[in-house]
Amino acid sequence: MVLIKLFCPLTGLMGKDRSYSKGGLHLDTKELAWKAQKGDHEAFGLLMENRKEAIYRVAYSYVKNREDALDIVSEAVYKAFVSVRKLKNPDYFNTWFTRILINCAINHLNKNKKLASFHHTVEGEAGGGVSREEKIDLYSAIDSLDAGEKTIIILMYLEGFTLREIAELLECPLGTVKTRLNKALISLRVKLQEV
Amino acid sequence: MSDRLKDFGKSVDIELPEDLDGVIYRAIERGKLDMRRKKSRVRAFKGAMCAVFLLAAVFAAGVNTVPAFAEAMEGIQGLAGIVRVLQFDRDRAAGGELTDGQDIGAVDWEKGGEEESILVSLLAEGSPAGLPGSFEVLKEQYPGRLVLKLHGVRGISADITAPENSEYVEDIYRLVTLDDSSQRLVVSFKKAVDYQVAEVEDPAGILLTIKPAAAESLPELFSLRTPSLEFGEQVGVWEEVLTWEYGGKDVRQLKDSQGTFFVEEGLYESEGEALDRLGELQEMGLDFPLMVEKVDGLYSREYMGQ
Repeated sequence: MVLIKLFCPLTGLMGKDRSYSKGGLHLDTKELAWKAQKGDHEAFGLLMENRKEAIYRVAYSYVKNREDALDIVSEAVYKAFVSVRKLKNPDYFNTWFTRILINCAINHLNKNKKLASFHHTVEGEAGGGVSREEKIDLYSAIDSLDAGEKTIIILMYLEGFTLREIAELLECPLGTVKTRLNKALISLRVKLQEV
Repeated sequence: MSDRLKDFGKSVDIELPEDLDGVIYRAIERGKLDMRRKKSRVRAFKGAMCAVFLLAAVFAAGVNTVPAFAEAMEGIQGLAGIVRVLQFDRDRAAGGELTDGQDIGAVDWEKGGEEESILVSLLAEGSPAGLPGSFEVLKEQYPGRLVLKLHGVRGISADITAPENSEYVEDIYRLVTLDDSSQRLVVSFKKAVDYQVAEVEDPAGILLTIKPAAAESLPELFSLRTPSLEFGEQVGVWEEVLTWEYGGKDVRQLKDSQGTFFVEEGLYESEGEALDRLGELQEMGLDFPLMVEKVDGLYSREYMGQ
């Protein structure tokens, strides 16, 4: 079993493009996305290989259990694969894919109508500077946010996106993201009795 | 709060499952299979379209209104999968063969010149079926729409969405059907249209060909309807109760402008008539809300809350 860090500031999901060697050629994400768009299945596979940890992290952040997270990953990869030809600009592959992933995660939550419990998950997690009780409180508080606010918190604090990147990803104005973030932070403070 | 969240983010580790690669690999393989199926459907769709256009041209020669001619056209061989073009008796047409266990595998929309087509493809045990199961097509107004009742169809694996650039089709959606051996699909229209419905074989499908028609003037009517609800069992229950317990003759489900669903008990010529019927239903013990909505034949119905 491999342990990965949840917090990975921009080197993962949006990340500075990793590159690959394929058939002696050196390909970056944009080139791979362009090839995938033209029907190169291997290129699509490489893109997923590059992003698999980040993909899983985001999915897991929504549902907090392995089975549901894998279902979301599966659905997002499938949807991206069958629609990659429709991607308008390979430059935005990562943004485009993350949007699919978030939609799949939110749909999954809506479909199952169940609040994933963080509690059992925290049991197995490594330490760090935050106590386990504190983690449980934070997890529960994040869980109680609505899907839109939760998405912003996950992307910003667990995945390290900037506000501008989140706005781009969610296709909404920067001001809206800031407002939602403030609202989410206020909610969290109230729930954690910091006001 | 912000710092606390940052520390929290940094401190959380999760285990990466060993079968993550396998899940991704299987998702890609599922995508490949789906794309192969889609390609095969597109080929069948195009073949069927050619046949329909050919038939339409023959009909346009002046014999399309003669039912005997239509009957004679049934079963013509060599017309790329078209078994027959259905003839409407008043507002109902029927086709297909009695079968069970089919699944709606895809609903594809295509535009060709002034005409648009929708192909409903049917699967049996995960593969394209040979012939469509028994089905009915009902024409309705307020708003203009076609309802496809597919018997022996137990599932919908297709991702059903409204076409984005259609001139005629407002929406394609399913209705809540409490009978698990059938499914219902609706094609609703933005404007007055003419359509032709054909039964397609190998692979099995139902092909709707839609073209423009002269706008018709419809009188204002009064609908007796439930509030709007999210798609779900309750909508189906209301429909069944109004039909079977209260003897409603024209009970149907509709989707409103906000994407929620409601049940209509009937359309009445005056508000008074609708209110009389409401009183009658309440006297009979109706225990859920019904209200009167004025409808003018426009191609959209309004959301109404409780």
